[in-house]
Amino acid sequence: MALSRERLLAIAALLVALGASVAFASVFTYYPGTIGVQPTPPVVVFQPGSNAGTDDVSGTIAVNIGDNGTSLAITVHPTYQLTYYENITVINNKDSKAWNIWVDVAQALTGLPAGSKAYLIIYDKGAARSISYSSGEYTPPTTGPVAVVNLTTTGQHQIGQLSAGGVYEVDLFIYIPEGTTLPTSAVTAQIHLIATPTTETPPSLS
Amino acid sequence: MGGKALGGGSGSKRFFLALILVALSLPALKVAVAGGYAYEPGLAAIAPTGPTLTLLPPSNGANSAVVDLGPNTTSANITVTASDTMQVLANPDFYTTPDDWYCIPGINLTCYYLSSDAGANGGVVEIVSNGAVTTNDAAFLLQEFQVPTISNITEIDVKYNISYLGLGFRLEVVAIIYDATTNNTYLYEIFNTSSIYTSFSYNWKNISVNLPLNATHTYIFAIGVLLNQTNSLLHIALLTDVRIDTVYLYVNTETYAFAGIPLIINNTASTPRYAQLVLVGGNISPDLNCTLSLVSSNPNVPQASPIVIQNGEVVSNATGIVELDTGSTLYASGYVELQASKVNATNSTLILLLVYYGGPNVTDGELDVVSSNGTVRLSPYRGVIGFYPIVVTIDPGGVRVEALGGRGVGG
Repeated sequence: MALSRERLLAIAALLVALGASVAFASVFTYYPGTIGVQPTPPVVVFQPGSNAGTDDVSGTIAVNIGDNGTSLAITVHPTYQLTYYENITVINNKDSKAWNIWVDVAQALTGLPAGSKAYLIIYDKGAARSISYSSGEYTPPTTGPVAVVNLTTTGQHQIGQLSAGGVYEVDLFIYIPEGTTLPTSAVTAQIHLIATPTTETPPSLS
Repeated sequence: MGGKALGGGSGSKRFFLALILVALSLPALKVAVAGGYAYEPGLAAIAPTGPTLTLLPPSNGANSAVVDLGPNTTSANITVTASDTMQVLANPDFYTTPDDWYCIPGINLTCYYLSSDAGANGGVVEIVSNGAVTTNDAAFLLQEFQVPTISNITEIDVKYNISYLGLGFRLEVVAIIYDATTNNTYLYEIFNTSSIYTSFSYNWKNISVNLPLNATHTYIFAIGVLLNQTNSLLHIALLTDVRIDTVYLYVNTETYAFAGIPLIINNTASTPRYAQLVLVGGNISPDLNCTLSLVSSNPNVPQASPIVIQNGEVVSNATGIVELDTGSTLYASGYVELQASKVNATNSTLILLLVYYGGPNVTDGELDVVSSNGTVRLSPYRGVIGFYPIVVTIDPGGVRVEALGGRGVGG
């Protein structure tokens, strides 16, 4: 019952392989590394616009900004037809270099009557605003603003490069068709302002 | 065969392994290059609310302005009928107020306003004696009026009621047109009596007149009571009571014209709103002359500049900004006032936006309203900015139109 040469070679190869495996499993290599976390004040922040807290259709235009200017909550009270909110918050780059600004609509505005429109319109500081009206329809401008962000759909929007010390002013454009039924409570859109020194597309949260 | 392939491709194998390593390392490279992203959360809450500025048709149903309001009173389609006959007196029926009229009292005769009277439509103005009259006396109600073009007075219509108890006097009720530019006076008798008289009910008096008027002149219309003694020995009037329910003064014009209030605006918010009208389009015929104003009901609010169209050319495409105070059940906050004239019997349409602002004080920004008609640059006030569409069609229909602020015959 002598084993053939081929079978002996195969068994030998298997034993070598098992031996090598055991030898590798018992070796660990440790390379040292240090991760330093140095929190720093935000360089791009929200600030109240010139119309924050002023009279709305009902009540006031509520603009609440987090203690460090890194969160924003706006509540407005539009009515039928076009209701426009000019310069309700600003985006301020306090850094000494330019930052690229994006807005990510993570949760779209739903619950407004059919045919409604809702846009976040971003202008350079002090720019003239405009709206268009033609054949009974209101539309936001196609030229003039830095960016127009549709709040009724999710998605990421590149706003522009905000220069050192630069300011963007943020407007809201809300249209609700006459003759529709208004929601009984507020509807909300969740957005993220994304600031980056790079020109690359940031990872989306939407 | 396979072994040969593997052995023969050893160089390719190394290449693919290198590719895999590079691919696996890409995310790390990306993060390293990107350098970081700061995510700052924002929440936009939209809490729709019913309108606090609403549009209303003219009070008491103006018969020459047909107003079709949107279901939420935030839009209006208005058709005004321009006529070559127009009534030029303001507040001709004293319906809720004696506003626009002035009283010139006499010695014993003076004016009072009654908010209602049997047989009258709404309020009336009463010219009445305070005690017995023993000497000549007179009292008048008057107001200034203007005509838009070369015109001709055609008719004075008065609805009145008289109670007179006296002797030795001649009681006259008269209408007077006074041309303040030329100092000419024209007197028209409505009624006279020299004996005790009671009309028991309101009567109409229609006086045909043929008096050319000049648009550049200033005119005063007066209606009043004269007591002239006819008996030098015995003259005493124990009661003189003349009540005027309505006074209309009709003129024929060379053009089709409308002058009146086609739309009311009411502010139900707790604070004033500030509003203006903006002309954004339409079909403006070359013979149209038009002035469109936004007027506050608060007499202390300064008048704002109007939209002006001259011979079809837009001279001014936006009104000034007007304060609209919180309205009440008796008085709306403001109104649109239109004066339009056309030579030809063709329609013209004006497409307007009523733009309102939430708060006082001008911002440092500008707002352009872009339309097929061009761009109108506004200087917005603070707070919310709202837009309501208003379409006004001026239709030369040829029927009798009403006065500025008036309500038409029969109100």
